[in-house]
Amino acid sequence: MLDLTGIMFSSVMMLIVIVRAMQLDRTQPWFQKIKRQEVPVPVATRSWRRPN
Amino acid sequence: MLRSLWLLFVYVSFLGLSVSAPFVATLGYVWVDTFQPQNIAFILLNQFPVAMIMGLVALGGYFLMDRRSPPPLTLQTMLQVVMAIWVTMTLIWAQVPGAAWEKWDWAFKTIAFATFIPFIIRSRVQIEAFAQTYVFSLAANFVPYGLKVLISGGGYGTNLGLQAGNSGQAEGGLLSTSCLMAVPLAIFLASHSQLIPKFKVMPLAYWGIAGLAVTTALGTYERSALIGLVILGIYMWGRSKRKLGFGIVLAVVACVVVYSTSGAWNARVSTIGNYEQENSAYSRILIWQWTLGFVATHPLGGGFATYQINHIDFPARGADPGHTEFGRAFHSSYFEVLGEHGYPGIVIFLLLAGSTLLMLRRIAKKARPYPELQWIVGLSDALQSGLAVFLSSGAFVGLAFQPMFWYFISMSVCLNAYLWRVEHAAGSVATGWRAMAIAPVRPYAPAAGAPVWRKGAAPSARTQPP
Repeated sequence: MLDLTGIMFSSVMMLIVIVRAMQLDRTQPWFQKIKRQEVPVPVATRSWRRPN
Repeated sequence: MLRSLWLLFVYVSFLGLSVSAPFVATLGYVWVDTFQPQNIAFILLNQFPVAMIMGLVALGGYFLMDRRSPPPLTLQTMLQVVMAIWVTMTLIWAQVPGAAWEKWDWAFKTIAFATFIPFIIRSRVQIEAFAQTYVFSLAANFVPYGLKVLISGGGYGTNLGLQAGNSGQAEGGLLSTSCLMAVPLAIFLASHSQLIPKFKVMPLAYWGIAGLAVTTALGTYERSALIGLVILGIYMWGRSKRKLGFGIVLAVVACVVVYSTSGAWNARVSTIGNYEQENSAYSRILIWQWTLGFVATHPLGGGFATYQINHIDFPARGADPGHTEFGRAFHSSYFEVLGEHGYPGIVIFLLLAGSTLLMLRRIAKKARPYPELQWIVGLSDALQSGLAVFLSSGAFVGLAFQPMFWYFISMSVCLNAYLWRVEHAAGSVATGWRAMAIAPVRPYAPAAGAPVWRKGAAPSARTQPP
């Protein structure tokens, strides 16, 4: 009985996961775009200036 | 009867769903390879080659319907290919050709399929589904096993699992190691799962699964399981963010283990220290000595199942006047590879394990600054912990060609490829020597147009160029 319970539990969970994966795989973008933080550039160095 | 019909239903479900989404057949192969329903069913599934059919469907689905966005070529993929070629070459000089062919048949398939997996498991959802399938495939065995251990206490050589005999998941060393390798994955899924409905009880369920996996490992009375458990605890503690909290949990688990285990378990485990008095441990040392002597004269190894030609002379000890035993297994993944595939084989194996661990550390370091990629850090840590268990427990059990190691490598390659795609989707620019080597930098762009199996589906962001 415990064996059957284990098999049923694992396979039901697995099928739920796979059906959900199929749904999400179609609706979600595959690869998340990460938000890269731009490093602030000081005003003085935004354009090249000839040193005096 | 009911069990067999249910397993047939699950098997057919995998095949049916794979028509709509090809990656499901790959997960089906992982299920068949890990759970081995053909050895558990009493009718139908044990009548035909279930793994071969699922494998062919997975390959066919990939080649005919879904060949987008292949992963970058990595050292690990190359090493897997080289290993597959090398183990095939060792058949030429195999010492026991018949047995070597028999083992090659499943070992080669395991390596080859593990090499193929990163081609079809690409998105976050697919990678998580891979991890979930692996954990639940094992859970079918260790959930009832763990419950039985809690009721009866388990025992050395006491088979409480689904399979009969002393091979596959019925073998204590293999079962305990695979259970311990699943623990960090289950804990990762408890906090990062996208696929399981967000009920408050779900994380507890995963922690329960992890607990039953540890109980099963301890219930086998395998000494390698205790070593693996200690390594797992140390590694997970080292990688955890909340070291104090995790340390307290580990201390509680250690106390529970010490006070709840029986005298028989303690007696069995305490033989780790006096290996010279204990026959099983002492025979390992003698077998390893034989292996070193064998590869001194056969540096290219003796092919699969070489252990069958060994003869181990046990010196006189106590009441034992001394005797000789033949055909003792290697009892170590490292000596298994060394004896069977020689120095080239062990170099490839160690390079594969070592480079994968380093790659996982690098992946975690790269992903850590980004909140969107914290799941990558979690999965990377879980895979590292699992591999650490394999590399420690595997030193005392011959598991080198069992699927769990190769699937962990595959999952790592999938994760690396995912991060590579994210970096290229974000338009990263190569710098330094890479910029000189790869000029001009080619940004990642998915194949134009929807694949055959997605025709008619609503356009999604993944088909759009970044």
